[in-house]
Amino acid sequence: MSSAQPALEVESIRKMYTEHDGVREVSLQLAQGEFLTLLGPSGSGKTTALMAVAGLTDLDSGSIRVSGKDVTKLPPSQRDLGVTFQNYALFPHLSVRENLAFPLKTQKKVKGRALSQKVDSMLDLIGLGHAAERRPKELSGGQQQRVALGRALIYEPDLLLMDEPLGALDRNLREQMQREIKRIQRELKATVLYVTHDRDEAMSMSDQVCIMNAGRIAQIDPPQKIYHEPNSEFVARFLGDANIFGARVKSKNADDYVVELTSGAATGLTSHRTFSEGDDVRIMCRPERTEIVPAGEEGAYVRARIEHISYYGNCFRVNGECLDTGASVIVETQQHSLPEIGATIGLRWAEESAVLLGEG
Amino acid sequence: MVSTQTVPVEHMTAVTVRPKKRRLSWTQRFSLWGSLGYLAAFFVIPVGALVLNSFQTVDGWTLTNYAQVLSDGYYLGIFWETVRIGFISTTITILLSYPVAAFISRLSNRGVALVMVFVILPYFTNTVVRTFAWIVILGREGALNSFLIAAGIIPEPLQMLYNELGVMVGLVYVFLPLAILIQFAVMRGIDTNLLRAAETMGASKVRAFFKVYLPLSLPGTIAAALLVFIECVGAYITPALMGGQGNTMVAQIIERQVRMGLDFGTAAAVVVILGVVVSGIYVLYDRITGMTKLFEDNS
Repeated sequence: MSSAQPALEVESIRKMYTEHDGVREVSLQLAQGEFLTLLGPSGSGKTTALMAVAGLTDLDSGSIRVSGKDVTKLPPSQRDLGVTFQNYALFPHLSVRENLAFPLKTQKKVKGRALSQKVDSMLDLIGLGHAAERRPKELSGGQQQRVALGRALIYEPDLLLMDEPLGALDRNLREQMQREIKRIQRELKATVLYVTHDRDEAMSMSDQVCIMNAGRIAQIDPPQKIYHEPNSEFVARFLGDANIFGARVKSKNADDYVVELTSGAATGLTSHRTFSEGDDVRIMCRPERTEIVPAGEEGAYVRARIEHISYYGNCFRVNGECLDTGASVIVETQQHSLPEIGATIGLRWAEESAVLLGEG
Repeated sequence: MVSTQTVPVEHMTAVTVRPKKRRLSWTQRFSLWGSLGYLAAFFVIPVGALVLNSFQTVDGWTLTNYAQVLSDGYYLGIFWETVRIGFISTTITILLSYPVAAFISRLSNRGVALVMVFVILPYFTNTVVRTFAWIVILGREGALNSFLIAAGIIPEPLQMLYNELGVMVGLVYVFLPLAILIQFAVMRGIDTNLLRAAETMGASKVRAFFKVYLPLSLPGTIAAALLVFIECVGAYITPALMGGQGNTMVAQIIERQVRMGLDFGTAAAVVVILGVVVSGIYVLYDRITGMTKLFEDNS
């Protein structure tokens, strides 16, 4: 990552539309060939951040460098970026071929034969050779998306920005297009900054996921890490179901902590974040890493009453209520002999499965 | 949104069954015969009567009316003059209305409502009254001349009325709102993201305009030009009130023939010829630019 020039460096950019709406402070870096997704609820500033990189939104402050070149003051036409828009923004008066040729003709870097060869090979890559002469409105949503992608990549920009590209497609098509986008991205070794509010999309496509909340970055990490080691309750809950319990730090030895849960049980775990003895903290454990044990068993950290059991084919999901705190808990298990609804169960987890979260 | 569902084969065969003759419901019949009746009463019959009239004189069926009109340099001159003034006025109208319509189309819904009131406002007044207002402004002792003299820009009043300039000012003024409204309707449907997209691909704002906005807005502009042109060549009030001796237009000679000569046959022939000329221009326009594009869904 550190060897080459980063494809994108965003430094403390700020753009507030109103007091609450916009980007408060965002800094991030993107290495060549990396796929980074801005993920967040609507209004978290992810699209604003993307549009700022594209140059379609001017900044209050901060700076943006693309391949080492400061583009903060440059218009979009001089940033050498590819952008795909939510509604594709294909030119309705031009055919698929003409849409793909548009940026090449505009930039005048290639002409004549070379230009039409480039268009042909892009048509192959996006699998639309048979539809080259059609107008955008004669294409399906997925095909339109592929034209938009091809048009943004045909001039080999330093960086591809994608704003919720799959938002308008239905579920099945969306998964197919995710694979398609990844295939094309890998083939062209494109660097991508991607915006979505769909966490599955973010998790399945990205090298790095950047969770945004209220105009700031909550956490940037690879998908696995951000899922299992969130740094806040917001991130934990945004990425999926989470069991979160109140606790207090009893003792620590370097990164090894012993904490006491509200239920009175004690557990050890490792955290690279710094807490002091006596700190109020919380413990987070994902449902599929939480185990059900008999209530009285030694080593059960928390006791809960089962409220609901649902079968999902590959697992059971057990919803319950924590007896000590009333917090809701959720367990995903493949275990088939489950206690009945209303029964009291114990919950535990392996030490390495739990994460310490700060208060708030 | 295009559905990706595939229709099973057995369902498709059901669709290809020969359609039964359907009886129209009462409401369908009413709207069908109603609109046909309306067309007949207010379009087919009067226009038909006019066309028949053009082939008649007191001596019966004849082509004399056409021969008379088409062989007379006076009539031909007026036709030419009418088309020429119509063409120039239309060009000026389009040049003035295009930027205004483009500007309004970018406003918020509230903004559009507000500004459109000012565009439509002139329609609340009768054309004759509005034309007299221009006479007050452009006359020898009018507001504009007085201002220009007072400001020391010109030593003597300019002749702005009862000549070609007067006719054109009047025509442009009367048809400007029409041109703005038609072009606005098309421009409002243009996705501004397209311009942003063009810019991200390296296009300057000027290039984005010429390569994206202009072609997408052109159908509206052509439709507006066509309608304004047709209105201009058929205009009566404006040339009558603001034109001079040398600026007689077709509608005026039609009126003169009926009122002074009671020559309905010749008047009808002039109308039919005018109609053919305008239709010809429409067909030409359609061939070159494809008017049908206007009715395509560009979203």
